[in-house]
This record gives sequence, structure tokens and C-alpha cells, in this order.
Amino acid sequence: MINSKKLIEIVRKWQRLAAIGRKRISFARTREGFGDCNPSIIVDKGHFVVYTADQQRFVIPLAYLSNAIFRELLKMAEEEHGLPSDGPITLPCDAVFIEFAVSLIRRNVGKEMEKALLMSITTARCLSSSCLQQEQSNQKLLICSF
Amino acid sequence: MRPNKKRLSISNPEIFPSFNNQVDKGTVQIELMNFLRACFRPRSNRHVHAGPDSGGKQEGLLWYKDTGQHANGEFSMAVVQANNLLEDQSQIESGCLSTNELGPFGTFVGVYDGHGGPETSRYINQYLFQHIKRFTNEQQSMSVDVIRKAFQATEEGFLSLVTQQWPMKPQIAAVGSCCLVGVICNGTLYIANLGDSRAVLGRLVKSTGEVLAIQLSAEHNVAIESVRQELRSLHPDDSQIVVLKHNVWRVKGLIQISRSIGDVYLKKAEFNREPLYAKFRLREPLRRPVLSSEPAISVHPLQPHDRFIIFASDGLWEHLSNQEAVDLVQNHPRSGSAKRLVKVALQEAAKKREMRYSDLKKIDRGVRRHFHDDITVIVVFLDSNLVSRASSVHSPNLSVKGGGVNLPSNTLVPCTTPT
Repeated sequence: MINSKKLIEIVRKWQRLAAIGRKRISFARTREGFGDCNPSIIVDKGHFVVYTADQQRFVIPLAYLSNAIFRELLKMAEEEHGLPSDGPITLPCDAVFIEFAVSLIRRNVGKEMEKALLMSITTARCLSSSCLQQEQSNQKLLICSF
Repeated sequence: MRPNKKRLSISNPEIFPSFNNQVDKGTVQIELMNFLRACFRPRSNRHVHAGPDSGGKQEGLLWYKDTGQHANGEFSMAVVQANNLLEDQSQIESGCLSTNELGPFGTFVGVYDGHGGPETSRYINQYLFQHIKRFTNEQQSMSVDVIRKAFQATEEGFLSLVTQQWPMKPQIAAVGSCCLVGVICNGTLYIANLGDSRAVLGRLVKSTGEVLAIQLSAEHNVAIESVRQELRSLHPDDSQIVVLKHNVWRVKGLIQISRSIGDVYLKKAEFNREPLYAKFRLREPLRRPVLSSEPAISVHPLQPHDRFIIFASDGLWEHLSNQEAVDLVQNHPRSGSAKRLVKVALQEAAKKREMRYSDLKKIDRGVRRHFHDDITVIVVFLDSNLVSRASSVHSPNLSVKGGGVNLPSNTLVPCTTPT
């Protein structure tokens, strides 16, 4: 069990990170060539691609598909957009959120922390393109849930 | 899938180490759950093996039968699963088309693309052909009327199943299926359709030597303007009969098709109420069915230049055009045609998702649905000598059902919410 102090610390750190010119984690790229099926944008082996509501492109390792956070995000995408077959997957959250989620999974912060984030997204449910405000309310929820 | 004998032994230290060393109830319980899950879960790296009753083969989530013989020629069949429980069901039945063994003889093909769960498509797979045989016997021949009555009997049968199960399992009211059927009998092809699967004929044009794609069925999907118009004219008092939601047209904001078997929550008021999930309940009581179960049936006298018919669920057609599919069948060996079509569709799906086909194939069922739909393809080749033969000529009985990992819906695998 993570105590709330540590959680706040992590959230602060993330806020700082996000503030520093939104330094992107290595696999985030801008959305270029979206829409056409140019084979050159097909990614490295062992990865899949998602776009965020604010049109950022993320290349994610396949293994993340079994992570509860990504499963929830995909489920939310399905509720939001149905299951369109004509283009890439778009998740109903913004780049900052994905960066945070990916950094959590990457640093292997453990199931408790992931659960907390999951709870915050399932409670908020409405992460949409109007990003920062909702991000903040998510932080609150995240902290409140302990 | 059947677990091998070694795995079944509870004293096998490979499976239950804790059971043999130290009895730890919690661990044993968890391991037992894992073991049971392992028994039911398909492995994507599983080796090719024969399916239970059909002579088909399974390779990961792909099931296929490269070639077989039906009364009017050869056929090829393939199914790839994306949903946690396969919602596409399919069958080819050849030989006697009546409960009377004297015939008529011919070929029956069915593709049933379910939604909200596998129950309706499985039900159709089990009963529709039986009804066809019964009505053919009653009328002593194959006809449009036989097919219409068989659809109606299937719809009614499923409705009574829902009525029976409603108290324990109300969500069955929100399960439905598309239904595409082809019958070849006496040199005639009957196509009956509900929903958005499609049958496409490949016909040789003698003068040019090309094989032309001819679409034999029309989709009942509100993405099509004329289908929306039809619904609006049937429900002039309801301005919300079709709604554009997140760029997709839906009947009552809920479903993309306008005709189906099942979906009784959109057909009968008594099933559009609690305890059905709130998201399926309409604000105003249902005054008349919003979905129809009346199939569109067409009759096509087969010609000597008709080469093959491709029957497929929309999972294929969202990635391939009619002519692309026909060209793929025409320009390659007959054996494995259906599998080839599925593979090309998956390659296309991978491209649209900006990933590699080899990686797409690694994704487990369930999550896989975010990358493509269940896809069913049956290619029925037409041998003109056999087609022109009278329907009284005996041909051996054959029955193949499209495979996949068919689990009962109440197993341990996590269930996705019906959509």
C-alpha cells in the first residue's frame, strides 16, 4: 500500500515534468501523416500505435495491452467512438495523461498505484480533449482515493 | 481445446508444486484458477490441430478449412476471432436439403455475425438449417417462401429462448445477429440477408476474360442513406429513429443495423425495461419494433460463367472491396482461398492501425477486437456441370461449422460488455 504522502510526491513530480515544456517520453511523436496509410509510419516490431484526443501519436510496446490501465483506456475509446475500422486507435485522453500512465507502468510502481490511477479514470470517466482542467480533477481524485 | 492428460493430474509437481510441498490453501486456490483458465484459454502460439467435428484447422485465433467438396463444386472456409467469445458463426451444409431423404439436394451456406454476445448467432447456426429442411419437406421443393418461413421460425424460436432466460439473464434481450444465407438448388441461387454481411459473385466476362464482382445482397446498415430513409418513413412520428453519434449513424443511437435476428429489446416493449442495462433502455416505451426480422431474398438463375460466390461478414468487407476480393480468389489456387482473403484483410487492418501484421497476430482475443472484427469467409466455387444437374440427383451429406474457440458463455474467461 502506498501512502498518500508518496502519492502526492509522485503527482508533484509528474506535474513538474509536465510543466517543463512537456518533455515527451521517448516514444511520443507528433501526429504526422495521419490518415494516409503510408507504410513508412508502420512502427517497429513488437509495438502498437495510439493517438490521443489532442492528436499526439504514441508508439507503445505490445505487452502494455495486458496492462489494466491500457485495457480501461481502450474500453473507454470503444464507448466514446465505437470500434471504427478505418484508421488508427484514438484514446479519449490527452498526451499528458498517457505520458503519466506510461511512466507509471514503466517504473513499475506496482499494482496499488495503477489501481489508484484506474479508479481515478473510471470515476472521472470523462477525460476529453479539454485536458488540463480534467487532469487536475483526476489528480484530486487520485489523492482522495487513499 | 482439451488439456492433455499430464496437465490434469493434480499431483503433478509441474502444475501444482505447492500442493506437493506445503499445503497453502490460498496458493492452491490461485493455482487452481490459473490452471482452469489455462485449460479454457486459447494459446496464440498453439500448434495447428484439427477442429472437433469439421476437419478444420486452428492456428492461434484463425480457423480454416482450405478445401472441401459440396454438391455444386468445391468450397473454402476461414474464420478469425477477435472478440473474447467468437460472435461470428457459420456453416456449409451440402446434400439433402429436406427432412425427407429423397431431396431436393443442393448446397446451403450461412454466415451469422452476432453482436452483444454469441448467443443469437449460435442459435441460428443450430436451428436455421433444420427449419429450412422442415419447410422444404412440407412444400416438397426449395423456394423463397421456404427460406422466409425458416427465418421467421428462427426469430420466433430465439424469442422464446429470450422469454425463458429473461428472468435469470436479462442481457440476452440485447443480443442479436446478422444472417446471410445462400442456397444452391436446381441451378438456382437463393440469397437471403438480414444485416450487413455480404455475398459477392465472381462472373467470367467471356469477351474480356475478366472475372467481374457482382454484389448479390444489400446491407441493412444505417450508414447507408437509403436505409436511413426507409427507417424514417417507417417511423414518421419518431425524429430520433436514427441518430448520428460520434460520426456513426445508429438506430435509436444504439445499433448500426436495421434488421436482425434477436435484439428483442428493440422489437418488444416487454424486454425494454429493467433489469436490462440502462444503456439499452429507450426513454419512451417501444410502440412498434424498430428493427425488422424480414430478410431480403433474391433469386439468381446460375449461368455457366458464374465461377464462385464469396460469403463474408462485414469484418472482411470493411477492409476489401468486392473486386479486390474476387481478384484474390480468381488469381490464386482454389485451396486456401478463404484463408487468403482473411489474411489480406488482417494485413490491411494492421496497416490502418499503423502496426505490423506479425504483431497484430500476437494480440489475444478480446483486446484484439480493438484492432479488427471477427471475420468469416466462405468461398463457394461453382462447377457448371454439377450446378446444372437436377436437384433430384443424390449427393453425399456434408456439414461444416466455422470454428474458432467456442466456449460456453459462462466459463471463467472475463466477459466483455455487450456493445
